[in-house]
Amino acid sequence: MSGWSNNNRAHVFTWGGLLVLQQIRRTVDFDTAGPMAMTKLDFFSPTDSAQLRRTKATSLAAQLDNIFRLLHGGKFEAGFNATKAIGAMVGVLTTQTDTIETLGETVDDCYQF
Amino acid sequence: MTATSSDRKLPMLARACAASLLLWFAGQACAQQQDPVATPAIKTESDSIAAQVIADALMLSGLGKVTLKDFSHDAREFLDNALHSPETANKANELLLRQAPGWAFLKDINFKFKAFDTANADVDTSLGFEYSFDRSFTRGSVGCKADPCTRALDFSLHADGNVAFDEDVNPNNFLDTRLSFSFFQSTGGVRALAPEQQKQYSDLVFEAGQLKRAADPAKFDAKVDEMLDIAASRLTTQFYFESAFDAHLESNQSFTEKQFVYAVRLAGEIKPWGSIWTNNFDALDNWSKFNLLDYPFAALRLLTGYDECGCFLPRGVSLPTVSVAIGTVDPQDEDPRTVIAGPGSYTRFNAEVSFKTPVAHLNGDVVSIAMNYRLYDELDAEAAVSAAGLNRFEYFVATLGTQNGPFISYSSGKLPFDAQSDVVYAIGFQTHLD
Repeated sequence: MSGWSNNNRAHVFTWGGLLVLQQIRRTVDFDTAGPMAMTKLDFFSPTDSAQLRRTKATSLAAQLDNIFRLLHGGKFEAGFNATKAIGAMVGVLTTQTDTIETLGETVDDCYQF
Repeated sequence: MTATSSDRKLPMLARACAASLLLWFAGQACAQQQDPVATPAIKTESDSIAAQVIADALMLSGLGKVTLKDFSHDAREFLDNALHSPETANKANELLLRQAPGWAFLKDINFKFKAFDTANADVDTSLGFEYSFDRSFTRGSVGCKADPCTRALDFSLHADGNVAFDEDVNPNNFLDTRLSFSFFQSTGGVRALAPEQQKQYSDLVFEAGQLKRAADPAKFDAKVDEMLDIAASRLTTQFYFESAFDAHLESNQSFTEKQFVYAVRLAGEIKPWGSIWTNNFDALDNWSKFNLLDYPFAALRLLTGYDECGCFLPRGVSLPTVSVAIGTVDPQDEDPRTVIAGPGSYTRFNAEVSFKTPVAHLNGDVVSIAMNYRLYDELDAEAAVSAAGLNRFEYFVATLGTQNGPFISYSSGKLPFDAQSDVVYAIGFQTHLD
């Protein structure tokens, strides 16, 4: 949990993006969100095949990318573009034991705010 | 993830976890030789491992050296049941992932113990596990003319399946491993803010991120309201579509029955995000209003008080996600269909539909119902294949529960290679690192 910081705008915007898309409840504050596993996000369904779960994760990652770029004005870090950033987020979203903190760190790697 | 154990304790915890897993397998080997609940005395190797696990736990808790024999019959019976439950195995798995780097591969595999119970009274509860793996190797961009739009190419590997320690009672004996080359496109979803508005919104989200709800709920809620007022006004309907060429291996868990499949697949979903924060039926977009599948659950949410407005609100973002594919199946030796129809490939249509929607709040968690339907249908099947019931496989599963806690699931039908159509009830506990 040492990396999950509300001084890091990428982390805070990750929390905000998930809240806006109702992937987490609106009563979940930043500190509470960090350790939550991907299985707690609304998109995750335990009954889906791995293939369909990936489809849903890619769709969600594309919408998060929209929020980071078009609502927050984020720019890509060197070496990243929308495709790579979405791919990196999908990798986290489809790993059930990864947490929102992990997703925040991935967003921090991909975007400048 | 919070580290709570000292370095001195780590090897012992890891040993206890490993012993729990060994006990799991040993218990399965012994299951057909004795009734562990009826005779909980220390008689078997698995019991001695259990005794070691308990001794380790007691040593860690500072209670000193105590053996399993020191416990009462009821206590031993309780421990025996606990050590043979999927919840215990999942906890052990969770600890292993935290403490033992050598087991880290399980994290990417999404490994989870589970228990199956069937409607067949002659079949005992089956213990086993499920797994899923998903990795992308390379991605390439395909240009879009205007935001919000993303197009890309992707090459990836997927695998998922259910494995029972006793294969004969595996109710979902189907493993799927596939390589995919796909194209996806996402359009819509957000209307961009002007640069000065982006700064204002970003500052607002940043301020909300500094607040702890427990310290001042009213202040936190007010700041989130401000944040949502801006965001909700900019959300629009997102259209997501992907097409792919898949090459996959389908098999039973022992690979005695297997087939290669080469298919073209289309998948997509519509997410009307613009209505996600609407608290008025009349203000919903048409996608939400016509999500008839969600109507019964919207009524249930009304009864459980899920929505703050206390109104009837079907959710557009719960519209089903759909995937369809058509391809060539190449059965291998020992496949039951090959025995009837002879060697040779055939054409198959495949579909998967997923639906998930919330129904209630429970102790701060969201209780959701998730449903998944899968169809495998051989086109123009020979009469003998149809007569044997090998031309069409349908599978339906529904789960009710929280995302990280107890759940009840129901499934019916069968997947390719399942021995028989069956109704399966599963009761379990989902545990994850958090």
